Amino acid sequence: MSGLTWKDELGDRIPEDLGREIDIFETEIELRSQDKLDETLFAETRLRRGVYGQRYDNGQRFDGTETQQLAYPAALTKGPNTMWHAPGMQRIKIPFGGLSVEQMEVLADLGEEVSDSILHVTTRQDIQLHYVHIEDTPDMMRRLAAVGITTREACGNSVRNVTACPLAGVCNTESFDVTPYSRALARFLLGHEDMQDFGRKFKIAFSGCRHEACGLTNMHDLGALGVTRMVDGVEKRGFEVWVGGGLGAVPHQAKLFDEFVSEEELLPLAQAIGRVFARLGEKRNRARARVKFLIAKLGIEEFKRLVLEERQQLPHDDRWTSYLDHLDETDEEPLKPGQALHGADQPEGFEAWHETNVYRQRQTGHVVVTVYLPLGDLTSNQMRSLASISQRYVKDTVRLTVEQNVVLRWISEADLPALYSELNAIGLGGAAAGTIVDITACPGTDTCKLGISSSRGLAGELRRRLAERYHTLDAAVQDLRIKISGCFNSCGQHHAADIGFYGISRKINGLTVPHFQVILGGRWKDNAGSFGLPMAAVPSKNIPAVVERLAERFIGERQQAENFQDYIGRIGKREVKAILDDLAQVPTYEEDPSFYRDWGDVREYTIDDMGKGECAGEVVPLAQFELTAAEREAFEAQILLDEGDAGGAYSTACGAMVQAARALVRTQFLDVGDDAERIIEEFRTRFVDTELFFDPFAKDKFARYLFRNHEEPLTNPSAEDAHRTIEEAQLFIEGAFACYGRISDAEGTLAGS
Amino acid sequence: MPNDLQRLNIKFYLEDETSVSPEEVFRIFNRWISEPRDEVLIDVADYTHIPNGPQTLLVGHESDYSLDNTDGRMGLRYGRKRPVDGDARQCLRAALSAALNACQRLEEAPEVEGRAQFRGAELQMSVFDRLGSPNSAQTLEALREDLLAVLSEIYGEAQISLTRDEDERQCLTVQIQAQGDFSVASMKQALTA
Repeated sequence: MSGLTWKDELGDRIPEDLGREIDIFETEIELRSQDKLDETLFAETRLRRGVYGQRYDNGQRFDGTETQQLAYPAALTKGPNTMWHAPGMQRIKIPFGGLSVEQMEVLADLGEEVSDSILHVTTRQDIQLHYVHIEDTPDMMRRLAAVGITTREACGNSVRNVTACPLAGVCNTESFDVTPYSRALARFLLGHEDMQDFGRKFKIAFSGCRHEACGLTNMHDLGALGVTRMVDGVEKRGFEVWVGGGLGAVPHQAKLFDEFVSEEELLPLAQAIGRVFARLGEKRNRARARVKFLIAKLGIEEFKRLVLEERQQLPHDDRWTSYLDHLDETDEEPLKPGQALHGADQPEGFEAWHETNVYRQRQTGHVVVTVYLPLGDLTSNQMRSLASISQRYVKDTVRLTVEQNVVLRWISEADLPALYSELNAIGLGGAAAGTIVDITACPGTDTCKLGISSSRGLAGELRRRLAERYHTLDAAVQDLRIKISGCFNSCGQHHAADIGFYGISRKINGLTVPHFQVILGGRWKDNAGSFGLPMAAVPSKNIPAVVERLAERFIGERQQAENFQDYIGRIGKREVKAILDDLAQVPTYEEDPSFYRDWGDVREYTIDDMGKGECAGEVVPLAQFELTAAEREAFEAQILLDEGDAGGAYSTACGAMVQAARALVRTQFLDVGDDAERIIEEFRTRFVDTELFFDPFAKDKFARYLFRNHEEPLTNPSAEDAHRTIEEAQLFIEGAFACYGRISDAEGTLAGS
Repeated sequence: MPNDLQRLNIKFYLEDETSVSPEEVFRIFNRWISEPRDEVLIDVADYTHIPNGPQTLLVGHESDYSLDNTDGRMGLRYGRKRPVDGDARQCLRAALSAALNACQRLEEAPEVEGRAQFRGAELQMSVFDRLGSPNSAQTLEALREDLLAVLSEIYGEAQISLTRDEDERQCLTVQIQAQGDFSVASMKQALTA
């Protein structure tokens, strides 16, 4: 070994406090490797530094014939079922998505040296590196710290990356630039002692305008929407503060906390909210530990009262307002004066790219260029080249977006043709940013331990197909947003898309078939203004046909300038379901084996089930019929909700859960009858107490939806209550399908057949 | 100057860049996982949506393998990630050996029916270690003797040219060209002799 170290090389370029923390982490890694540090404790330690375990199919790989166990040199674990020292994922926080050229270069180098030369931009403006050895993380953190980046609290039960609209400061419709406020809050809360005792993570987002989507303030634990108000004839800046929003398995729309929180009060208010969350938030049950559940339990008025009371008791902190003297630190200047494009020569493809990837700033002559990253990925070389391009066209004014792209701000319009050519030369000149082609997807089964279906595989396939046809699509379809999650946890933000999908699986004749649940009715605009609901479970291989059919019907049937959400609302969910019904069917393996593989995966995960399943022929087990009936009932609840019958929708959704529980109980006890009390009691004894229903990761989370709704029924449910209960019912039913699949596998035969 | 070489990458280029598809290699890499030799292989990643990068990546615990198009030319890249004991010459020899093994394995993979053939006379060596092996003329000079010694094992008396990528932001990358034709099998045999 050369004996050179990054610690020595970087010296005092590493901030002292960060350097000390990284040293401690390095020691903890060493202790863990010697088995002198408890794995659970170490897990939280590394997660708080953004060091994640990665999925490796639970230490097994299917080789096309049978499942093989992976050989690992030791028996230590990193997260569920994975060796702790297996290469994992490193999340790197990029507050408000802002990157300098120097930071981009370091990220590029790290991608190459410790990862697989691929940098992934997340839906929360982070960068993720995959396949990173934990032994490499301390030096990686030092190199990041030396350029002002920390991975601290990138994961774990902490304040995550503070996001902000990537157009802040140059946007035409914003009230003011929220950048310095997001930066100040991120810095203030980082490592703050009041933010260290949460039961779950806490996400913050900033936006400068109400009607756009860029900030997504409605789906965050704390959303700050910049607003101004005249006070004594003087315009004052402040924030409309929203709390308790979130996606996750069951999405919650944020609640308005205050219409106007002054800029002086923003930081102390966030601190007070954090304190109340730490003190009263759920700690033991992770499934109900986000602040949205605390607010739902207390009610927004009581929550507000407690927070304001807490605020009054906070000891004064100069940092609350000291940043206000330096708001201009994040102000940006152009490298070149703004000049119009005029009649400059335009390279081939420029016009289409200009149409979708260029946003005219409010500063005349300057534009924002969106660099479209397929699936949010770019190579180290591309990142390095992008840094070089940025250096020549703009200053340090690059930002990551929640749509997994990069924007270059302050481009002089006259430079666009040359810039386009340069981007094209490094493979980043793709058009169609912010369109139906620009699909958001979480990592899914590629690398995430929770993934059920291949969200990236599906996104890649949809992107390929839609890109080929993009210019033939109607403008109304071009503008739709597709978002895909590999499971119900919503990392792909499927609830807020025009067309959303989340991964599920279904057991068909003894074989596991990858599916996606189709989510419609969400609204990306208005800061994720509304959340969609499940329409149908469709096999993965038919999802491209779902998109195609919905688009065709929308174009054929839309009235005047009707948007997609309004169209779906007008034709009604029953009709939408009818449109999709035939696509929900799965051919037999003999008819089309491609349905039994996931997108982007050549392996047939289910071939080994064939021998067990073949004998069953076309027999559809009773449980599957009954679970499908329960799913239909959950759908009926949606219809009732659409018709304005929140009470009916709520009780029907609850009934659907009981139906699904009954279907499972009847695999063991056919004569359970129809009494809900009895069904739930039997379900608890047979499936929850025995842990048969337990999801490998969610455990009994979905069963608790059933129990809670049965034990504490709402007497006068609101539309929002009904919406949430429908989501819960759908998840419970998915859990029942999955449980049924596991039972079938364990029995080596088809349960009920 | 490096007295050892960590994070060594070796890339051999395909004779015919279209002879194997990333999908075929995806399937082959998955098979390799289940046929453990003396290393731990754990995952395969598909990056075909980024044309100039690794197309199909086989992730290992100590080393990665990829069907790689980072420099716009398709080839098989071997990349060592975990530290290797030994001096620079031993590290080079180990990396070259691992890369040749992988190339031969791909050439012989029944799935591609002999279509995958590598151009033995050219290879790229990169060192993904900017601290230990910065990209400079001095680093290459310090390495030259060891590098040529190892290369002479596979290329014999053939004339060898070394061309360093002079972009300082890149890691140390040397394009190596030998005069003559060399098969993977013969180079492998020469290295093990």
